[in-house]
Amino acid sequence: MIARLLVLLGVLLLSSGCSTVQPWEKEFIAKPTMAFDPYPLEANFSRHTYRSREASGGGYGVSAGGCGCH
Amino acid sequence: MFAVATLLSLSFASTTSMALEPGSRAPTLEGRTLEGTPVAVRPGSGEVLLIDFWASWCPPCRKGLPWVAELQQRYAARGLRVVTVNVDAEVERAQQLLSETGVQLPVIYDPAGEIPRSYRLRAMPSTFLVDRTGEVVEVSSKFTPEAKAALERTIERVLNE
Repeated sequence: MIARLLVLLGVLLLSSGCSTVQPWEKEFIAKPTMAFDPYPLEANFSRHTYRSREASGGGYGVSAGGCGCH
Repeated sequence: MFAVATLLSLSFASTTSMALEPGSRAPTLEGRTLEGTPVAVRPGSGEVLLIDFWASWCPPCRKGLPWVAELQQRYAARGLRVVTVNVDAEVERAQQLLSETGVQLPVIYDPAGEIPRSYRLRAMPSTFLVDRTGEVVEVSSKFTPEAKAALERTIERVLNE
């Protein structure tokens, strides 16, 4: 039982896909195509259509910088 | 159970570290210029050093470079040496940015990130001010008017020491 548990833990440790991207390694993440909305006009148009269809809006994020002060 | 939880948390732990704090010894900067010439800068050799890390893909870095060049011109005669470290993957991008902006600065090209790793860089851009003894005096990661004014005050103070 303990051996199985150890094997499981080993697999968990080795299969962890998390890694830290260092600040100087963010060149490709910084590309505009990596943005959630690479085409702001198109995204705005889609949201407008969605709002009209659902008769509701919001929930797409906030206008502040993430500091939680608004 | 505790051991399992510890191991699981370790497996997902990130390897974030703090940037060099004021009071730390600044590591030697060794590498090559954009033209490929070997260069080594050893903090603590009597000069006040301003080390700026930048990349062409980093908008605040691009915005701050002309100010860094201005600092070099303003304080060089009083003993400030400005060294910049570029971390672009392709050297042409760094050269293009410098030619577009007309900024003339000494650059150590470090695409492998060995120098930022030794300085435990936490953000781009980052600027380190190192005194004549090789000790980090201030670390700044922004080019807001307030941050620039604060760094200039510290430069004045360190140059007068």
